[in-house]
Amino acid sequence: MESNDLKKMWQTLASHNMVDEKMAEEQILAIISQKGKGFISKLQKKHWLDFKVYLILAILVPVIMLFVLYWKNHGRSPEGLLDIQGQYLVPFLLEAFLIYVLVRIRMNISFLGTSHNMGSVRQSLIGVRSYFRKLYREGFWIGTISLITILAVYQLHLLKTIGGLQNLNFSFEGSYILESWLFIFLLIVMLGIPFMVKSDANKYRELLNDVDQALAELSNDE
Amino acid sequence: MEKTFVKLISENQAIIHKICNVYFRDKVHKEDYHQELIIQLWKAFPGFKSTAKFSTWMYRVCINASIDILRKEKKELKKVNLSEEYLNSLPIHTNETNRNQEELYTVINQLPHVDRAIITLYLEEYSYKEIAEIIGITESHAGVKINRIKSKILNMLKYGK
Repeated sequence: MESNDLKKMWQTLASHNMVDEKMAEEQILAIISQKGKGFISKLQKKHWLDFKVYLILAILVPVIMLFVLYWKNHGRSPEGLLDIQGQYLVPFLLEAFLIYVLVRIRMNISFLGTSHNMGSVRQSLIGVRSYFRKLYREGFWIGTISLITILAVYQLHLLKTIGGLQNLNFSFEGSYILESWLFIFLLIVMLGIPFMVKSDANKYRELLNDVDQALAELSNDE
Repeated sequence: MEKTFVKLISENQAIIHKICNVYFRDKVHKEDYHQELIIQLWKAFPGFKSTAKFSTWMYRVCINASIDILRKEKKELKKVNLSEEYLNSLPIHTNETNRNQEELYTVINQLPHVDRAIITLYLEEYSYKEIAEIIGITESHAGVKINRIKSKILNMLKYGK
């Protein structure tokens, strides 16, 4: 079999496939006129739906927390509302998680919306590579800063509750034992956040490696 | 602009079918990919210069968009094994000639994304110069790559590997 046979096979195949698949001009017009058609739009729609759900949850968590605090402190001074204690760790962690998820979904949406289709295949790959690098960097910093900030706010309230660092108690008797160990635990979590975010951002790293490899293949033999 | 675009796409829609078969052959809901390519072409259309050949521009955008879509799916295309089991699984009415031709798409589908673009353009009778321009490599490099891909395809068709 020679390359001419390949071309013949290709042409026959192309004409076979065209018989049932020809699209009318009206259909083409409908595709470009209606929003939400196509593969990417469907994916984006799904992400936007997720984004809205998580946004509602991210708003609800602090609202419920404030309501509970207000209800518990009813009749006390407004400063009492800020008297956040140990039992609020779960909603705080949940809020941190929700914000992080929101950032990731938003980045996915913008990733889906970006295209580099105009230049040559190589130019397109180069464009995609620099976009991925930017996305990877942004994802890392936004994720790290948002998670650390929320946990830091909680840590500050925890310290305020126990009356400062000098009251940390790591013995087996006395007060603030649980709070002190919680403080250390959260400190370790905060230190681990950059590594956690980095490993999550690695899914972009895999895509980046694919692009790098494709570009390397195009550069070979030159 | 809409009318011009629709007319040009209608005249050249075979390109979209071919690219869809090369990049999304084993996907379900192929019409979604088809529509996506038309949308991407429409988005890119304001950048089309009338001095250029429309079909060449269309290939360029469709190839870039297809590779982009596959990347966005974050999945590797399912590799179809050219085993006897696979060949037997083809429809009964498929005769020997058609089966060999269908096999060509299957083999092309197993190539890396950029190689698929190069061989498609070659099979579409584009010159080495045009292929080099669309891909963004030198003419000699395009020649080298085409020869390699061709022998790879011929081997796969002959020996299934």
